[in-house]
Amino acid sequence: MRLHRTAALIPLLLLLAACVRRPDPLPGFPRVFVWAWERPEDLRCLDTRAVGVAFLARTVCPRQDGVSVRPRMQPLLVTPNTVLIAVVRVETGGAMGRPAYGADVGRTAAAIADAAGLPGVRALQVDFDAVASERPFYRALLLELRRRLPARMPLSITALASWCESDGWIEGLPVAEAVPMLFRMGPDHYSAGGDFSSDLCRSSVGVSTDELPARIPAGRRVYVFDPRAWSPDHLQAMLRKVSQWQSAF
Amino acid sequence: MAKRILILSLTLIMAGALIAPEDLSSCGPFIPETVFTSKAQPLDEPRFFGGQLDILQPQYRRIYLMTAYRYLTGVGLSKADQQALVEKPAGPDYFWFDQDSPAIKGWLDARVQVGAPSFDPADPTPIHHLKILPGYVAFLNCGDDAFRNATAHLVERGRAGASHDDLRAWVAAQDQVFANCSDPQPGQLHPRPAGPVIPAALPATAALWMQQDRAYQIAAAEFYAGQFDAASADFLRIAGDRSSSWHGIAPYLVARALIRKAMIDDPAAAPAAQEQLRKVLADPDAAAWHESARGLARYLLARTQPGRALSEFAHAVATEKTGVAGEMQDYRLMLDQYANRNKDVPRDEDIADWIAAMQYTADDHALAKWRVTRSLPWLVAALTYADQPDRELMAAAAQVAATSPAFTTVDFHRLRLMSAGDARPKLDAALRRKMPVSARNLFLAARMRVSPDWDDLLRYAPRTVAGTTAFGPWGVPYLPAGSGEGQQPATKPELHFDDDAARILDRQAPLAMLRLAAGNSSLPPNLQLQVARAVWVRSILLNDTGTAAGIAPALASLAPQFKPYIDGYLAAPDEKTRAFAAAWLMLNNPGMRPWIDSGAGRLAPVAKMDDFRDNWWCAADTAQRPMNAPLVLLYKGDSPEARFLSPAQRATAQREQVRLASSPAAPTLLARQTVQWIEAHPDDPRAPEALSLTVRAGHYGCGGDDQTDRWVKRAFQLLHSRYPKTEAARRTRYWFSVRKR
Repeated sequence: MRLHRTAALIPLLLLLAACVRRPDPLPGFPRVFVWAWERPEDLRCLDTRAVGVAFLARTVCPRQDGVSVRPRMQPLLVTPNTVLIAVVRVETGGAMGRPAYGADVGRTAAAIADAAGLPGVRALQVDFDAVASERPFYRALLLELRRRLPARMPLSITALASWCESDGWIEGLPVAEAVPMLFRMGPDHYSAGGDFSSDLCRSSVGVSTDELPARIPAGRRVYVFDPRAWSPDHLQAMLRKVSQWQSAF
Repeated sequence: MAKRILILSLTLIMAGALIAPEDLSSCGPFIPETVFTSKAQPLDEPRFFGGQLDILQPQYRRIYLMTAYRYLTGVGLSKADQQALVEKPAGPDYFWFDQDSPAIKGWLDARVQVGAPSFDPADPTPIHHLKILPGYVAFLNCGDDAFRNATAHLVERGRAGASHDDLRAWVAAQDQVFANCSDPQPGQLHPRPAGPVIPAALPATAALWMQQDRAYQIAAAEFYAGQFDAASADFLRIAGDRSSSWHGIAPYLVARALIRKAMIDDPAAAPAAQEQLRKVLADPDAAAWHESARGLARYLLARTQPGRALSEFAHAVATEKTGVAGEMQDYRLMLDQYANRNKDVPRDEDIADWIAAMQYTADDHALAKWRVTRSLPWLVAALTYADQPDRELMAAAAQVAATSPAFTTVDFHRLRLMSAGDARPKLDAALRRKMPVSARNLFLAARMRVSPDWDDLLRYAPRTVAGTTAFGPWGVPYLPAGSGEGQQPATKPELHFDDDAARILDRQAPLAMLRLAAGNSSLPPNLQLQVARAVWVRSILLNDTGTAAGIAPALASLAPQFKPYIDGYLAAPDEKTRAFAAAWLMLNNPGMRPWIDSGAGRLAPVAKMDDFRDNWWCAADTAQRPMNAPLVLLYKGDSPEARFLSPAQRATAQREQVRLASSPAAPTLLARQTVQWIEAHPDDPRAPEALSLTVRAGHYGCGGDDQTDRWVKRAFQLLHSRYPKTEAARRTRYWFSVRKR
């Protein structure tokens, strides 16, 4: 009898578990981040309580015989209390059939970790469109990177939408979040009320101002890319759109 | 501290400060593209800088147009300038740095050899080149030459008999110098404390060379730490010590410290820096530093008086006989910055006007300038943009000697502007001349344009691959090994269709003519195969069983891997069996498509699924890419056209194109054929695998249509309801909607 009662509770427990939102992987961070790519950006007009800046700090190219680094060359102006995430892009040529086989994980991790030491940086984000054959390298790289970073510094990655949907390969990566990039890759993903299957992909979303989705689930941290330099008008328009998303659900 | 540090620093600081890209994309993928004739730069730089301009492309980067102008005006380039231009990257400045450069490694090894304690081997990057300024901008603080010079000096001191204790002390001080190169990094396992690290001065009791080297190390540490006033004062003191081995370079380093101060801390320091450079240039004893000092002077001028700098650089680039490579690079950087900011470059210097006209002319400016100047550069520009054979212009073009650097360009445009009948024999004669692949490809295109019949067109359709690029037409092409313009290729050259031939074969030729092309010996086997593949798939889509069966043996002969499938197709006793045999072949070969590609086409082998969904064909796949720029130069506003086709042939081709465009998307067609066959023939041993491949086609196929989901879902359900225990079913856990993609 007791067993039956317990069994009857299982669906209820499962329902409750589904309703419990995953804790914020970046607690205390703003809910909106603008991506500041390799161009002069003046973001001193931001309301730093609401919006942070994830800026391209460097690009790292792992090779079999070493690691090349392309540092940021364009100025980024922010007020001192802006919450900053350093973004490191990894380029390998994998899409050109020259993937990062045999690249040195330790050296690559060191080159990425350097960006975490920039003044004011509170988290690190890796942007690497790893092709399927590069996934073991990427996993090892993130493990080594996590080891090198201060324990309390969150590690984030951007993710192709397919990684979040069907591949499942990102499960277990030592990262706080995987930001699904909903541009150039399928902007209408949430339109039919769907969501990504991977838990890592359900706390944030990356969008582009020239390809904004119609809706996104409430509560997501939103990273916004602008193909041109940010202007106050663009920022305001983008914040209005994010606010609409949040109130629509 | 030598010239290369200077050049790198200047380039980095200048570009970092000035480049303001207007529009960027955040990521790849970067798909390789075949290059037949490069749009943005010559494929063989040494050849081009040596004066072999071949067919000058108006959209070449400015460094190449400057080079062309000098050759066209008879100034040319000295061997030393050619070498300097080849060695220095002339394309876009990507500013990649080796995280562990050989120079740094050399220094780390050398210091250990004299007994200095090694850095932690677990820390792969104990020293960095770059420093971060406020605003998160990186700049090259310590160039490779700094490490090479330190290594060389250490070895030299050792050879001169310095004691181990002295050498270790020297290394310890140099470690302090290099500690200022970058800020402490968390990636370093043992980061040093923040702040400047300046070696202590040595007492007067130390050996004189040790005192003098230490004074230099102190000044260098101050320089790298950003203490520019202290550094310039200390370098000035060293300059006054005639017995120091550093006194020769010290005045130049005073100027460098003042320039860094002007650029990083205080712009008011610029006049003092200019004055110091003037002193260095006026001092014959400092001749070793004059070239570097001139570079610094140009840099300062560009930063402080850009208008005057543009004019002075333009004049120097156009007229100076030798030692002009530095001016050319600086002029290029300035022109690039103007263009990046959409600012018009002043065109009062002829070279500036000519470069702008070559790159942007959309009117008769070039022709008007040629009528006034009658100069060779303006003849080239006028011909490049001519749409009609102006009598006077054509006569002048005919007078250009074969030995002129303009000859190939002028000859190409002259023949391009002639009537087909006149041009044909002259183009045949031109093609008998020896010329590099990229120029030959354009002459072949010009010859194909005036072909009188199908066989003639096919003779000139194949083009040799000159290179590959992965960043669009502006990307720097990388070449197959040993395939520089002047070299014999290491392997047999690859032949493909360029955009012009592909357009004609793909969109203008009726199926019957394509079938003839598949067996035409003018086409190499890979192109015969491509055409045969397209003919076979088209036949299936057009329901032309006779052509499909007719081309099938050729297809199997050209690609033996198709033979088992082709045999099955040919042996099929009825239409339904044939339809599934065709689907079975295509399901197993995602590279099967009805279209003819230009360039190397699809990346994956025909039997492999492409990672970027370039598989089979899309619904209504009628969009055409714009032609590549060198061909646009040939065709101007026209489109490639097989003018010899009869009205009946054109009408047939048109009807076929309409039917092809209305064919279902590949995943729909394949899924429908497969499901219908298996529902009627459930015992076919191919059934589970065919259904699995069908679901896969829905996932990885090039898009779909409004019927795709319906048929793919049916295939998925059929697989799991009829064959649940098979490996194919186990492998196929989901089906994917094309509508949600």
